[in-house]
Amino acid sequence: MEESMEEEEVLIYEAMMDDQNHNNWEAAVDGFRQPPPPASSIPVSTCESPGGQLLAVPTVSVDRKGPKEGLPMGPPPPPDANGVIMMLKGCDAAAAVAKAAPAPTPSSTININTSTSKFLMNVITIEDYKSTYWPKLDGAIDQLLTQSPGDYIPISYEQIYSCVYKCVCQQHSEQMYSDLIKKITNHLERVSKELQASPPDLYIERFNIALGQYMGALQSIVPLFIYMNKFYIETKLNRDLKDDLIKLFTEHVAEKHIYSLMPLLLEAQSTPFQVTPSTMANIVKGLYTLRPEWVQMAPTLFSKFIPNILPPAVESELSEYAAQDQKLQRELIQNGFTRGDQSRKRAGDELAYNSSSACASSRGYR
Amino acid sequence: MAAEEVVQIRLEGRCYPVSKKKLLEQSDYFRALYRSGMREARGAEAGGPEVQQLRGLSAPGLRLVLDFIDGGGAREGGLLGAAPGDEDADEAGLLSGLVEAASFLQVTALLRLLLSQVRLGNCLELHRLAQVHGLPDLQEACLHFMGAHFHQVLRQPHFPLLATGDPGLQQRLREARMTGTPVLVALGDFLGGPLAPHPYQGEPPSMLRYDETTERWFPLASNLPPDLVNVRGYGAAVLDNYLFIVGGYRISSQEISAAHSYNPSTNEWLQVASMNQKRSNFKLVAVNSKLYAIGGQAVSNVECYSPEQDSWNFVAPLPNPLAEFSACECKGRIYVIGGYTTRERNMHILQYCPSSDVWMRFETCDVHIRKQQMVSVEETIYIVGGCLHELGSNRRSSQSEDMLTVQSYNVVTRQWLYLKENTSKSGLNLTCALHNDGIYIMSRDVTLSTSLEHRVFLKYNIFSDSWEAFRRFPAFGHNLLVSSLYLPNKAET
Repeated sequence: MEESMEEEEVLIYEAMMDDQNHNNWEAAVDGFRQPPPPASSIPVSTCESPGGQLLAVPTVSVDRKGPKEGLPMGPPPPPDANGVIMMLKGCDAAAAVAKAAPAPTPSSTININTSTSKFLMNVITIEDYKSTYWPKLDGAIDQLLTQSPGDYIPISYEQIYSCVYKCVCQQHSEQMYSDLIKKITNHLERVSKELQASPPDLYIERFNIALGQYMGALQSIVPLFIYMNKFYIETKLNRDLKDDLIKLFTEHVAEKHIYSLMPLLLEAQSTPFQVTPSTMANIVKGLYTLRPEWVQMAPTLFSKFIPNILPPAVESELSEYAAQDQKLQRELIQNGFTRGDQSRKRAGDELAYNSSSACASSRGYR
Repeated sequence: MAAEEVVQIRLEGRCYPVSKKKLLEQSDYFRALYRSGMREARGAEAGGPEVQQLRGLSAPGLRLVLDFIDGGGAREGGLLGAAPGDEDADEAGLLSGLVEAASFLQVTALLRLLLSQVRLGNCLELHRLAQVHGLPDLQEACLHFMGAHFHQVLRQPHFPLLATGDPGLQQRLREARMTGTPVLVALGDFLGGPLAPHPYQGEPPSMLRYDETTERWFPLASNLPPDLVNVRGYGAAVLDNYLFIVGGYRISSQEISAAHSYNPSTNEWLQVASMNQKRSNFKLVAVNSKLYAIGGQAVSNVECYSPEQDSWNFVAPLPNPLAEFSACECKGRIYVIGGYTTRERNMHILQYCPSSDVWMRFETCDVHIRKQQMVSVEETIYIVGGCLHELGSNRRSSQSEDMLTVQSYNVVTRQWLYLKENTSKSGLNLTCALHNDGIYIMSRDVTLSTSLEHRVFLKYNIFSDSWEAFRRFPAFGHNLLVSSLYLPNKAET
């Protein structure tokens, strides 16, 4: 009975959420709130706040995703069997009544029971967590992992955060953390396999997309889990969620591809126009963030994008620097680039980084 | 308008306007929300919601948190003292709403402020909330507070309820209670004079602490309560790091039943429930978190004090009234040795088992002893000082003369050992305490039988079986008691 009512509420709620006409959105909410829910055979009247009952699941967004756009990677969302919803307040309030009922008098003693928060009134068993709470998070994470950076994110921050909050307060942090790590690991392993299957000419670009998409997803996933980060990962594990998640990409994607990627990058930098300078810059900077030691594999390449990683210039090598520069200039002339104005020498260097000049970029990648 | 963007926060159909800037400054929730790029992060004009909907929080709690945020986090005085009157009932609810809203919205400054708001009335509830919301600092602050006010916390009306819900709570409180530095404390009617500690030569204190590194005595910033001054023959015992002084008689020879406890964590004396029986020259022993007042002048009954109830109850009495006996706890039982019954020497070792509430004769001794002091380490009882009399020996010579002896009795092997003697020191009217690796003893020299008493302060090291003498005796005085207590570490006070 409860289930069906919840479902109904959710459906209406989702519909409202989907409504892009925001002027009506508020009105719709109010309109929805005024009459008591039709299927309310449970004592909804016990909750002081009908508004508080609604807690839509993230699968809301998963549902919409299907028709909206093809997903570049990742599995299709699981059939939405139990991810429907759990609503909290309706049953919470009922439980509160049941809990408070046996207390004889409203003395300060029973306050301990009755003052228990509405949020945390219900005990979330591990089964509840597995059947209701995690699927909700799972759906949201799926969507965040697979959308493109900059896309509109239809997920409600408040709802997912509340879900994390409740799980943490009900001692499911350990399980939730392990589920999160497992989920993202699986996702990254799939990403890695897909990269492996890429043809060499698309490999660099695809790696760049995977890296950008993952880092973009972290921008949203990490804030959703800040409650768990602060009150479990930081305090109990002495780690940081963002670092952990970045490390997962290093271990499950970057490390597996670095040896095939690096030769391609080196080759690309000597071949103008093969990859866009921004892609090159992203990848190199990204790899450096993931593991600074990778600089050793191609110090010259990394030094184009990361300041101060090569040893400082020394006077004794000045003639060698000059020879290198002359060689570069000769090659440029051979390739059809004129020597140009001496005064633009510095400016050309700078241009290497903003990718607007083919001349500069060809030099920049050398 | 543009300078101060206002966010409408909606809860249960009500809207609360808050400055967005302050919200971002104070609440990690909103900071993360606006960075997440999710639906609510957008402005209304960009397709985001017009209000920030919150659910499940308590409205009064949220209001307090938003007030705090609106005040820029600066707030003096009590957070919860705002509404006088209906304290208990609403405060607990308000507190839980406040902690939840502050935790949920991650208002770190407010959570930090809570650390200074721990009180006797809210410590248990705050501790529980800190556990629920995973706030280790607040949990630590509550534990520290509750450790410092341990017996008062045990007496809170809802403590039993919480203790059943959290079986480890009492143990954690006990651990929090037993922190600090073990320090020797001496009380008594100290006289001023040339040997008194320097700053108190004019006005002698009644409580001193011993600094082991400088080997000097310093006054404690607390004195005996006035009604304890000039009380003799009291019972003293340390229970849960409270020093209890119970019963005794006044110089006017009136016996009393009053009981006081000194709490080193707060440096305060508190009067607790009086015994049912006035008694003096009895023994007070702490066993299994309870105190036992055993016998007294012509008294055989025994009373038990439980700090949870703050009350005394009679338990099984001694088989006979005893005088000049001693008692101590050992392995969870009480052992009574020596002294006289109304008719004869007491040659029995009596054992009391608190769980079965039964006294039994444990063993019969060959040597009679009286007026000794007793302490125990694991299964060994140390018998310090007293008058020995070997039965059957007709010489009452040097053996029975006043000297300081240390003997041990093992309650498992039932073996007596005569450990050490010091013929120049008195074994009568001494006070001693187990502290660190030895038994610290305050007594006097017996060599000079003049009126000028020569006080001595020495230690029997139980590991090396040797004497160590200290130069400085606290002060001349009467009615001395030495005791070992955990005093708060300096940094904490």
